[in-house]
Amino acid sequence: METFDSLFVELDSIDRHLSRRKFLKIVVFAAAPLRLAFDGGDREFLRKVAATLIPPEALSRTGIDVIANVEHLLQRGSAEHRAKILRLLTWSRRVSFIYGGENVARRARDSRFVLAQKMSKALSALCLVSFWGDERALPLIESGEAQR
Amino acid sequence: MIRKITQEMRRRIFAARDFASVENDKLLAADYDVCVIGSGPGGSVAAATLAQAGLKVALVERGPFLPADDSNFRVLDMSNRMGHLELTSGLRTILYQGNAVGGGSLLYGAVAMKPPQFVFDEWKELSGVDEIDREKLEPHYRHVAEVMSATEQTRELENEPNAIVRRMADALGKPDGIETVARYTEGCAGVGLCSFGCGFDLKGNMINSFLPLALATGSLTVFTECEAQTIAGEKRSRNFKATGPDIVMRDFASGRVTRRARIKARAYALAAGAFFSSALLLRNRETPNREKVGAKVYLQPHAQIFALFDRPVTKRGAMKDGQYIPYNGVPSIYNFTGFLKEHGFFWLASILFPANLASFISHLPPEEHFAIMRQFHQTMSVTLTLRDDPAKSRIKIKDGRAQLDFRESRQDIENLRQCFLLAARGFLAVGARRVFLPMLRPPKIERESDLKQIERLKFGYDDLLLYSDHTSGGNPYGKDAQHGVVDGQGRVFGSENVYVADSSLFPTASGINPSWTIMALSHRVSSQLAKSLAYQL
Repeated sequence: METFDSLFVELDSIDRHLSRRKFLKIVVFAAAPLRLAFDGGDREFLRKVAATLIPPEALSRTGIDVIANVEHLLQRGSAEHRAKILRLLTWSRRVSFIYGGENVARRARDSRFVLAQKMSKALSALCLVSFWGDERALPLIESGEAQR
Repeated sequence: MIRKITQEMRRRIFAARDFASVENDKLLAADYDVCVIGSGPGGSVAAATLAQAGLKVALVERGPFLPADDSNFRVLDMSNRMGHLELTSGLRTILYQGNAVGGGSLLYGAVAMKPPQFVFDEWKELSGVDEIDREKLEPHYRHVAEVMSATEQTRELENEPNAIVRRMADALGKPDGIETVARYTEGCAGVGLCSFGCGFDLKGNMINSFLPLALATGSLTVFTECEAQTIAGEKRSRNFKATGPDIVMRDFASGRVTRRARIKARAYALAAGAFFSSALLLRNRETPNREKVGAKVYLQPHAQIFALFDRPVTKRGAMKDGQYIPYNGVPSIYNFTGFLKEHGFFWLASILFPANLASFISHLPPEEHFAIMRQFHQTMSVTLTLRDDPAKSRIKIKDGRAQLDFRESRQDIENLRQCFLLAARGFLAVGARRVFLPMLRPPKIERESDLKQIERLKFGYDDLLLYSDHTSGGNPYGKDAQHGVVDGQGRVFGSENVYVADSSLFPTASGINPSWTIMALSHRVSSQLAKSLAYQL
């Protein structure tokens, strides 16, 4: 944890010279090559991020492979949409060192930078939709019996 | 009445791969009477009206053709399938558009409503165009309602989330604010996942209504995976004459470009939505009255507000053919418009599925997130819509790409604050034990005293989870070029042959679900265009 605190101090000192938002934008928007498919690093990163958002018992009980589901989601969409998601992933991996690597989705949501909060939201949503959008997750939900 | 696109009709629908070789080039080189850009509610109605008038029509759509049997109710199959995302400047608000043949009609909730009279009064006053009037548009509304089978919903269809919306209105002292809506369906199965395109094909959309009518004439050719980039043309002594959209054909799945071309027609009807229609005009520096194009766009943004109850409010669904089907009943039979005039918002019961809740509450710590997900059937949400009036909202072209340079107004923030307060108060009054606001870091709302936090909150669009699929304005009606971008016939001022037939015609935000009005205006513009072209012949 101390490592990350000191990183924030570093960031704050840079912030005296640059606006926070601009600094973060420089980090994340530095040219990312256009990609249309995951590489091994993306898969490993996403797997670790998903494990910080979804209880391990839920993952093992349902047998859901979040990464396979994310790839399926992307395959169903347009090439343009796929490129956007992959760009999000590239940026998230780039800044993840500031937020504890795979803990990026959880920690960046408390960042003072709105951009980091939004990145965290998008990354979390990608993993969570890929889990809760799978029918195998439904038995985890308590049964409902609406009045009407 | 649901109509089908038959195999015979599908022969008139072309994709990027059909132009990998030269055999179909004659279709690109042909002379059309009208080229319509965009196949959503505006474009499909225009294409049908023009083709039925005997004109030779080319319809250009950026996305692919997805036949009805491509739709199902699986989140993993459908949630990225038919939409296209853009963001306003600074990555602030999501703009969501249909990206397949049928456009936004594949994604909408099929709610048919007309703007209230005060909106029409405002439109008439701002534009100075007398014909943009509820009464004068009535024949066009009627035509659309007939083709789309718009059916009044009844109280018998009320499920528990709709009942909660009605009880909230009572609790807020606005029982008259509940309006029963019409929907484009004769027989909804009550699955409640309209935004996935309706796997049962019971929702009225463009590919089961206006497009089969248009294709049945044999006068329509549809170019899919075909992005119009600009409206090329030349300035003549007095007027601008368009010579065609410059198009790029790009395979949906691989992104590979197969062809670039220009489609020639006597007239062009822009129906690519507020964002893209304005961008098409702005990319050509010769466009007349260019400084007015895209100068004010309305997002009419949406957000969800979730509530957690002590008891189940939705039913468990059933597995059928490997997919989970919720069967929650018709999702929205009411619009709550009790504060539309006063505070500029309305809400309705949302479409509900677990992945939606999972994404919405993703700010919660994992253990708490999981605990609430397990109680999914005890949750529901309302989708709020803000009739906005932004401080700045201008479409600009940067490096060839369109971008919406946007800043919200203080009044819009105050209206949203009122909306959050009233929705939270309403939910708590009808038994919710927790309310979740659409913010990146929302306050915890569990009791009346917590509402003070909402009064004190400092927030802008940056802090909210907002999206817009009701984007409108940009090419509004006007009595002259000082007051708008198009004249009373929908023709761009200073142009000979460029027309607009989509939500960008709206002088301000419509305040309600806009699809019916888009279709009615498109029918009006295209009927008049058909007459004028027939006269020229």
